[in-house]
Amino acid sequence: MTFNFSIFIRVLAATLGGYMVAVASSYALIPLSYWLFSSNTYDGTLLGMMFSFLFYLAAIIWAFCQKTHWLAWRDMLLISSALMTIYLLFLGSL
Amino acid sequence: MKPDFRKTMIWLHTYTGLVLGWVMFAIFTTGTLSYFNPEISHWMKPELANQPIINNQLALINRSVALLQQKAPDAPRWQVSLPSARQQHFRLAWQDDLENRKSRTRISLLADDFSQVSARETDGGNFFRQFHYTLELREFGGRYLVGVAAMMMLVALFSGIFTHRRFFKDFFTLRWKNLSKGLTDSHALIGIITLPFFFVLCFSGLLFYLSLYMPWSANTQFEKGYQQLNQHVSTSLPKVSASNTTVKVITDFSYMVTQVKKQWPEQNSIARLTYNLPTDPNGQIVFYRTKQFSLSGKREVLSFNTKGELMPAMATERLPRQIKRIFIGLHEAQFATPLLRWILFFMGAACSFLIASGLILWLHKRQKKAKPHLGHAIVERLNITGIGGLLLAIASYFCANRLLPVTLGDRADAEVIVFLITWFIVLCLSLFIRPIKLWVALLAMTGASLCLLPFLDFFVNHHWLIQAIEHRNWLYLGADISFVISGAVLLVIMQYVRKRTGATISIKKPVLQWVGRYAN
Repeated sequence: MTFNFSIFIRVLAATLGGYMVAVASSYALIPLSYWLFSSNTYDGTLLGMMFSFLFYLAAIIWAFCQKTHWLAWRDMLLISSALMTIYLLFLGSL
Repeated sequence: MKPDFRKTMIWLHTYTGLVLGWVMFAIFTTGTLSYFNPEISHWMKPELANQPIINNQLALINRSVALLQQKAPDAPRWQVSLPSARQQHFRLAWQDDLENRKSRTRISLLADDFSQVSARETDGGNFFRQFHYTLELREFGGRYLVGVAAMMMLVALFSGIFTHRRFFKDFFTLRWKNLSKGLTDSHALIGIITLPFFFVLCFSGLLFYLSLYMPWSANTQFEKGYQQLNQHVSTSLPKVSASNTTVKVITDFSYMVTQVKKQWPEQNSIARLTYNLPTDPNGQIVFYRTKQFSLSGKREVLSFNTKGELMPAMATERLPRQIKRIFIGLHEAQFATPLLRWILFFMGAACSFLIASGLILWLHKRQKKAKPHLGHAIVERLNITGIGGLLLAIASYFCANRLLPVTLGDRADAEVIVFLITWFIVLCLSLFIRPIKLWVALLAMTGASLCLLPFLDFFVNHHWLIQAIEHRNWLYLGADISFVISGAVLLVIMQYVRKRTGATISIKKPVLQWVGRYAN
């Protein structure tokens, strides 16, 4: 087995970048569930934490399917910042 | 890397499965055993095993409370755990400090004459339950490792679906004659059958330690983080606070028990009774129902005040908490009836087989094609240790339970040490013995020792087995029968492996002669 730089960067994108997406999704789901289900931040936070693992799973798959390893990193950063924006936009109304 | 989806998925499936494969196998195998946690503990504490089942719960409660009043008149909390169909263990406990669960003293009793019995010190089935989420590394990040493994299993599961070119054709193909093809086909078949089971278990496994794996949003949202969140989404009984006056302890529970039985009509429906502040007018009596009707794993409770009045029920929890509870409830499967429990057990065993076969296939495919490689040698050793070694270690844990002297200090830990040492010895052996020989030897040893467990049990103390037969104690007999059957299954697998690979274990003649002489 030889060291493969491209795969190494991609694995990092999937694990660390994917975790970033998961954490960001756990934030983004707070305002979403606040509007959709119940106006209770505790409930929203719990829902966000639970379903963030599905975002993690999706992010990992996505990172491995992107054309190049840098594109994988770009997507991880884009998705997680988009998710964080959702949270920050509605932070005031929580 | 080229963006061919299927190829990517095959690559992902291969390596997510490989990297922590042995950890996954250990988690699934010990987790599967945990479905029968009380039953295994029951077998491992034979001193408590053969009690006549007493169905008069009211009489038991009245007598237990009277006994607690003698034993610990000042304790602020008394507890009575009643024997039930699955959990025949009858136990009293009292707590010297209401807030501190460690101040609890427990005694085990015989239900018919209330004489105190002391069982051998053992973790019983609880060892497997704890091992399957801490790997005996609780202080060293064992739970994080298990979380990572669970996440990788989810990835392996998802990518595994796409490794099939022909989903349905693969499902109906089975080629037994060849070891490698037989493994490939059964891997595909079992993978499809256990797919939903596998998903629910891995996903719900991640929810147990949410606060370890995903604490960030709770930490920024709330001052005290997840703890505060949990307090606000879960409901519990009101806390009792002591006043300075005293009242007489309730000695007759007939009114309360009748009320309880009206709501929970099935036989032996009360699993536990907790009596908080028994001598205080603010006291509280709480009845806990057995978990067999609760999908969420949260016990149903009914609480009374010291005047015997039924207190208002706990508020139901809101949806998000219930989602979490139901996933965790599905994971623990406390609700499962015996048949369902066995089905779940077989599903779990199938998943363990799935992981093991995947690991073996990885090696097999590469050994055929490529020239020998250090990585292959390492995987080969780890396969033997992680799969065969773990099975032998489990068998040795059961044997140690019967063979270690009852008076040994720290006996419960000693049993675990036997388990770990056996595992380590297999690791050492794998460095020196030719792999296929060691495989066959391990399967033979595990199979034989599991088959011999009931006999060992009989020779250590024949009363246990005979009494179990007399009392038709199916928990105890069931454990013995299961040991023999699983041992036999392992021996059949051993035979199959031996035939397909041509490996033989030669028993040296002097050993045979010695055995023969000993028998004469």
